[in-house]
Amino acid sequence: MSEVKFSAKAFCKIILHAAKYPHCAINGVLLAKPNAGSREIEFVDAVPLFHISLHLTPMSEIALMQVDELASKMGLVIAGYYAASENIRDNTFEKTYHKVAEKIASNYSPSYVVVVNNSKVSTEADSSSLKVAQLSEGGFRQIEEQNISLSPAQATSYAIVALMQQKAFQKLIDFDNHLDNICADWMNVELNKTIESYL
Amino acid sequence: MAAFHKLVLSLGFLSMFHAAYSAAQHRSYLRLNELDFTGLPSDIFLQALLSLLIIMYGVLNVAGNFKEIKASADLDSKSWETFRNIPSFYTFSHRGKSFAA
Amino acid sequence: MGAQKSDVEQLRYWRENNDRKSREVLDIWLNGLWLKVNSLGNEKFLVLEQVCLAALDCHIPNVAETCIESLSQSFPSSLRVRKLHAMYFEAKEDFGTATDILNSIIKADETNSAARKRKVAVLKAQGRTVDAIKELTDYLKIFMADVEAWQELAELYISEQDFSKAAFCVEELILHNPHNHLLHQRYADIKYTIGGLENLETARSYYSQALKINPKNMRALYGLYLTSSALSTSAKCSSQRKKEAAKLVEWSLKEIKKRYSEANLMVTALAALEI
Repeated sequence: MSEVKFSAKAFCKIILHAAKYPHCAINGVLLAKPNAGSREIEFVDAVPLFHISLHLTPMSEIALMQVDELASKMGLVIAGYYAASENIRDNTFEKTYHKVAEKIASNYSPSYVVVVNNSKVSTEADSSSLKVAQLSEGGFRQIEEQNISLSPAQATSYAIVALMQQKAFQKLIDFDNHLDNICADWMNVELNKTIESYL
Repeated sequence: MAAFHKLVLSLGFLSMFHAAYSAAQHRSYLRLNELDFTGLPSDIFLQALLSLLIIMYGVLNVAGNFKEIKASADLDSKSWETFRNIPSFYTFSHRGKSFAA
Repeated sequence: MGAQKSDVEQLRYWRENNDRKSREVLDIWLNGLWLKVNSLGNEKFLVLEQVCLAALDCHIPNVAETCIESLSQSFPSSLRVRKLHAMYFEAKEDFGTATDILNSIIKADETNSAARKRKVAVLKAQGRTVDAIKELTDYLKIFMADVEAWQELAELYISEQDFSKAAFCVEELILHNPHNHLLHQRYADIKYTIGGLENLETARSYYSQALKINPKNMRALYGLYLTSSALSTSAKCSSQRKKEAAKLVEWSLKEIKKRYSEANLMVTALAALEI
């Protein structure tokens, strides 16, 4: 069975993105070290992409091009796609599926889809707030909850609580924010440093 | 500040009416004395002109900021961030509930 | 007193701009505005309504209740306050009661558009997007000039990935607001998403129009780059058109780099855009 690990940066940014726009559907991509064919994957970073009209493709294409370029410069690869639905009850993989996930799967295999469970997420989120599935020919192969973990576990839990208390989500920049103001850094370098300071 | 400009506006109007009244008085004086009307005395003329300028200043400041002539100018700074929000259709069944709990 | 004035101005700014800053509005309210609300004069009721919506959004029902009570004391038979009451039940997910209240408002006043729009919102909140679309299209048969409704319908169609109908709605919006660069850009986005040579060319012209109206629209610039590069590499395009498209690609890429360098940003990721 596959094992999926989220680094503090990846996990915290997913949750912060979800917290910044609680009334919107959001999505983003996950970066990992290239390790094709392995049964284990660790997502080292997350890049929040959009919270406005997710299904329109032009800006997704631009974003993917740029993220891919930067990721390969950092020795990483886009290996996953995360999303959260607008409605608190829509937590299925089918509902959040997107062409971007398909694109990612065609570039790297195995790739994963992560759905934020809107009813389980909270200011003290942990790995149970996320549902993970591996994308394969037949569809989604859901990863069991016990095979999903945060790495480092305790420090990440501590970090997310502290970040939510400080409302750090206000400082998160996604690609939509960047398109509105190109000075906004969608790689969230400053936020990454803040997250790392808690580890 | 608004009160000051309103005061200036009222003074302007009062001054204008005063100038008009003076002009009317001047004409009736000329008529009574059977003199020709060649023109208004310069002080009434000056007062009327000054009142006009004061009224213009008052009105401009009371009326508020000018809007751009270009129809799209004020839209330039708008982004989808706020444009997509339609309060008439806001729903509340979102993950805000989970974060508030 | 000074702090209060700037708070009220901030609330007014968010209200006029349709900023959904619910957490911030609630913070301002709980930080002391609730004590001074009676001194706000005519704005008091607008602020109460705004805070009520923010409280429902952040799921803090007791604040919403206080606001609704305060408003119903001042306007006992107001349909607008009754609508807020319905929204309170919506937030509690008691959709049955909410719909009943909304139906009673519509019965009392057939021309009340706000209550009809809330019925669409109730269906949306329940996840019944298809029913919401049907309700909204019925609404638009009566209230054809309601631009808000057309915009919402466009969003609903996009979320259902029915792009051709979404394009139709955005066309209506453009007819009402031909100077809005955001609408031209959105139309181009939808056309690009549908795909196909003709749609790519339409998208390109609408991106150009958006850029002409507002040269600062970054999405339009990126869109122009994307459509031009797709056209320049498309097999179905004549070589003349391909050459034009290639020139546009060059120009748009230069513009994009110029924007980034003007903002003093070293963006290595832009290298991805070079063909």
